[in-house]
Amino acid sequence: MTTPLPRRLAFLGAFLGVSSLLATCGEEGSQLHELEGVRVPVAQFFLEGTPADVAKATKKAGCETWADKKIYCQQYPVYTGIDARKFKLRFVSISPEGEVATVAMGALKRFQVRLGSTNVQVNDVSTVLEGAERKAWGFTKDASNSRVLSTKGLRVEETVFDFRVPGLGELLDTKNPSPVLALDYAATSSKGGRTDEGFLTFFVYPDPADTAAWKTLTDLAAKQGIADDAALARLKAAAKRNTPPDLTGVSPKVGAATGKKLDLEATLVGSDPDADAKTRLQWFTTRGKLGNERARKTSWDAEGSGPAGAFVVVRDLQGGQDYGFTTVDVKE
Amino acid sequence: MKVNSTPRAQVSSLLAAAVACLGSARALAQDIAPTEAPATAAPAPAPAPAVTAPANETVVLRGEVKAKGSTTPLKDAVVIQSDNRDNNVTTDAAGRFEITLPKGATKLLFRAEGYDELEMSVSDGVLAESGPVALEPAAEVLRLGVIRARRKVEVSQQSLQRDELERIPGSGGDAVRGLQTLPSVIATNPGSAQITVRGSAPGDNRFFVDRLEVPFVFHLGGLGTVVPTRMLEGVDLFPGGWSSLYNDATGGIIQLRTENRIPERFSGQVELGLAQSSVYLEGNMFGTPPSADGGAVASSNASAPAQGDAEKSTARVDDRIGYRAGFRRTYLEVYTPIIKKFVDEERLSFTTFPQATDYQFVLNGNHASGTWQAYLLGAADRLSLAATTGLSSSEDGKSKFGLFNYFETAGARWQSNLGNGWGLTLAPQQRYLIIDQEFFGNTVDVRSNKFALEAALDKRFSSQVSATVGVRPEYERVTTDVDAIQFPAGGPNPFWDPDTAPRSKERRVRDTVSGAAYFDVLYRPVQPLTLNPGVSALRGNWAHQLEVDPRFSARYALSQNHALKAGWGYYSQRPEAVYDSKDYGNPDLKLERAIHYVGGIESKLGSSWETDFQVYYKNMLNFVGNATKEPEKKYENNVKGRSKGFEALIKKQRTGRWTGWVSYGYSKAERRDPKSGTWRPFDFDKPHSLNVVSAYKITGQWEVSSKWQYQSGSPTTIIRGGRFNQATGRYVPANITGDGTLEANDDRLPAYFQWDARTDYDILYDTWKLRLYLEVLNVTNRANVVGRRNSPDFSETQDVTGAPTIPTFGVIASF
Repeated sequence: MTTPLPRRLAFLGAFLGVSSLLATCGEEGSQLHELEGVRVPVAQFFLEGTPADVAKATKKAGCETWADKKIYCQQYPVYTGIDARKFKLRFVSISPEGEVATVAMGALKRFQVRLGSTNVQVNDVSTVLEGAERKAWGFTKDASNSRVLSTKGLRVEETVFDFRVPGLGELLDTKNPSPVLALDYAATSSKGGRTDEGFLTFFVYPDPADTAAWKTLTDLAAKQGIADDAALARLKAAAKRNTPPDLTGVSPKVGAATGKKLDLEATLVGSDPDADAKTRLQWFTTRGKLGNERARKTSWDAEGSGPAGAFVVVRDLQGGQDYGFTTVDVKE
Repeated sequence: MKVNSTPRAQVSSLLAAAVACLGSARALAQDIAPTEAPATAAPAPAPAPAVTAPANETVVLRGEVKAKGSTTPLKDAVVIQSDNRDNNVTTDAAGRFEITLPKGATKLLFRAEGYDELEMSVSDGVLAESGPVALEPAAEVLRLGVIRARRKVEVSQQSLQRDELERIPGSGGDAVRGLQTLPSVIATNPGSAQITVRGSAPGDNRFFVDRLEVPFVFHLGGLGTVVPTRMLEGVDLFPGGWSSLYNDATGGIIQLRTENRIPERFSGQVELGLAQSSVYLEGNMFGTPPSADGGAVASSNASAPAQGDAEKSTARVDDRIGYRAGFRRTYLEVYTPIIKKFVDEERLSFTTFPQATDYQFVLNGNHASGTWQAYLLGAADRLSLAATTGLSSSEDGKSKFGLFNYFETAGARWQSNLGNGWGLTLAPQQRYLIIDQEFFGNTVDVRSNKFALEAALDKRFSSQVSATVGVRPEYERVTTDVDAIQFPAGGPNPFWDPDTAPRSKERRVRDTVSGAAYFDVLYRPVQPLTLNPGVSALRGNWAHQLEVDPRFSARYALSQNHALKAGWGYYSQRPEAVYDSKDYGNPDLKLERAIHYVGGIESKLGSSWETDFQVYYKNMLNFVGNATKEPEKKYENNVKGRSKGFEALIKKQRTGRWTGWVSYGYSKAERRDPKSGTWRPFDFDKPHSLNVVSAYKITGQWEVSSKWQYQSGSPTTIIRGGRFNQATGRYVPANITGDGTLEANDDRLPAYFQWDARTDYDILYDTWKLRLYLEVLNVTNRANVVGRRNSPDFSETQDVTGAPTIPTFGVIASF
């Protein structure tokens, strides 16, 4: 923005301000956190097994806590050259009690990062939108675990879907680095056919230590006529292995006044374990109203009495996700 | 002061001259029969009624007539001896009169155009009341030349005068908002002052204050115009087919005209409103009024020496300097405690409530061969808030937004009649601009200094041919401090995740030279026909951004009251700076270009009715859109557009008790998607728009006005569910296009209708008046659908309705 001053720049800025003011009054409305249908708030890639199974992965702080989930560590970004058999794709759905969810995998699209763009955004699909659909990428359903969370009368069901992705190796070929993959899915509940569609975008880079793969990428950039070291530097930065957020506590606290006014708080082991990532939260509740479903700590007016539940997912903006659930018995 | 003391013929001619001066034969002295009248003494200044020594049973009474509620003297008011109406005089420019009365005269009658007649007792040659005679405004206005109709100089032109703009219901007295009552002038959003004209985008318009360009015209993107209406004489809108005198725009030209006369006296106005207040002062200084020495005046109150048609005069120049100063400020922050009660602070919190400030200072005067004006204008907006957007990684889950926009511009316009048909206009301008913005934790701070000089040379070759040639070179230095992520091509879209976009922190300094030149000819080969060929050249920010635009218009007067008109031309404009920036956009972009076709007929019906019917077609050739051929360049000249329509305006000038106008516009505006090649309705396309504006004076002090507005609904896009983006944790519309845009416009909101009403009441004091106004927006409390809001997962759509019935009131004190 260094050209002679746009006669509309001021308008744009003012418009952004005012429109955001107006939009925010309703954009993040209170409906989203109300768990009235099936939602798939969590999607994770991870490597299964022991650390030895992941030859090129360095053990990171926080990965151990996943042992109870029989996974080693979330992988993000996905590195080329890794044994695809060790990969699992996990979706977690939540739905009102009695609504059993199923997940259908949709199309996979593969995009090429536009290295030539002066504004290449390595974690943002908006610059890599051109892609061809691949139909032959198989998903093998590994297991589904459906369980009613928590206590009596609580209307929420969590279902964990694990998929193996044997065909992923084809896409992790070190000779064809830097693709961006987008995966469509749809979760459908058994009641009323309610669905929650979504997509998962993930990036496949060479391991930063894999000099041969990065030479391939550099050669690719050269073919595209790019002499922008900064763009490659950004790619390498994006390829840095991410340590996912670790949610260690979700706590509702009953307020003193009415017994229905609660404070919800999510506790993390450091909001930025990598020191290079930020986190975002999103709350879902079985009933009531939230002050701000995006805040680490928020008020919760759990209308009515009896058990109420709150589900929270935390994202670290680099593909790492964790989630937790808590209940409270609200007294009259 | 004119003295009616001469023989009958002279009285007759003087009266006729006085009345003719006012523009109507409906004489103020209509029942005055020319006859021999007693002689009066020679005029002499007399600020208050006084009596000279009686002689031969007569007395000479001197006095002053003024408007009640102000100190404005009434020129050409007629003072009549009630029982001998043949004996009358008229007041001079200072409102003074001197009349010789028989000693036994008992009553004097005072008449002035636009004011109620007043009869006052006289005893022994002394008025019953001391001090100036104050006349109250009349309910009926004869419009005897008081409102000077501006000659239409463009084939497609609409003008509204200040007194019309100030009282249009629903506009809050805002100048540009008032234009929304004209055909095919549509508000971008209900309640916004920002306008679209004939199917063009708001940014395709260009705004001038006289010949000064202002960098932004609206507070906070559309809250109101940065120049208060009180500073203006009127506003001209050229919606298409304008001459080569204006460039760098394809939508419309909006000319905010300041007054060019020297204020005769010190006066002012203070307005107190619910959300803002303002103060305005005007007067003159230095020099002496032309009437003080009785000499003729050259160039006093003169307008531009258009086409060099004024000859040099040796008469004394009115050497006074007029000044006008204004200041406005909003104060929404005083409502903080109230607003906080209605705002959920967990979702929305203000750091700075919206603030808008503007100031104006204008000087004008005369020089030996013309006129000059000097300007200092400025405006500032502030706003900062934090709100939930779902895109925040902060602990409170809110994103921060803030802006501080400020501009100051100083300039001058110097117009000179060089003699022999030559005229010269020079208009230098300096402008300083600050744009500081914070959004999603990013900051962009812009400082810009711009210098421009417009020079125009007029030549009147004969009564048939005149021409104008002009240039406007511009130099600008822009310093930009950026600590921000990079926007994706085309701006933010639902895929966009500001926390993962690349960030740059740097200072960029850039100097650019651009400019425009024009050549315009007026040719009248035969009396009823006027041809206006011309050519305009525009050079943008880059050397390859150069276009030469030929233009042509013609006007044929079918009679004194009817004229046919037509215009055609090419129009170019610079792309937005973010588009053709070397660092951010595509410097290879060309100028955006359009072709206008305009035709119509305008008429005057009787003394107070005007009609204007126009058809138009606009072809937009190469507007900027997201790149499709070479995506890495982000932007290309790949968007085409077209609009066509019909407009009708029937207007009754302010005569009698009421004024008003009816405007109707039919339009069809479309844009072509560069990727698919399909045409779709333009975002601001509204096929039908109808406005009925009327004002009625119940008494001289009380007026009621009304505005009915009907418009087709805005185009909108049907959202077919949502899809959850696992990367951002937000849903996006399921039918979003590949480049993240939603521009199908495959649906339309319900039609919009609103009735606004207003009433103004003047309380007249001796030398000042208090105007109370009450404005009621949406009188019928109609729930107009102004948009659609989707649930966060796009599973449900809900109509968003506009404001309910809202009364506002204010107080304006003026003297």
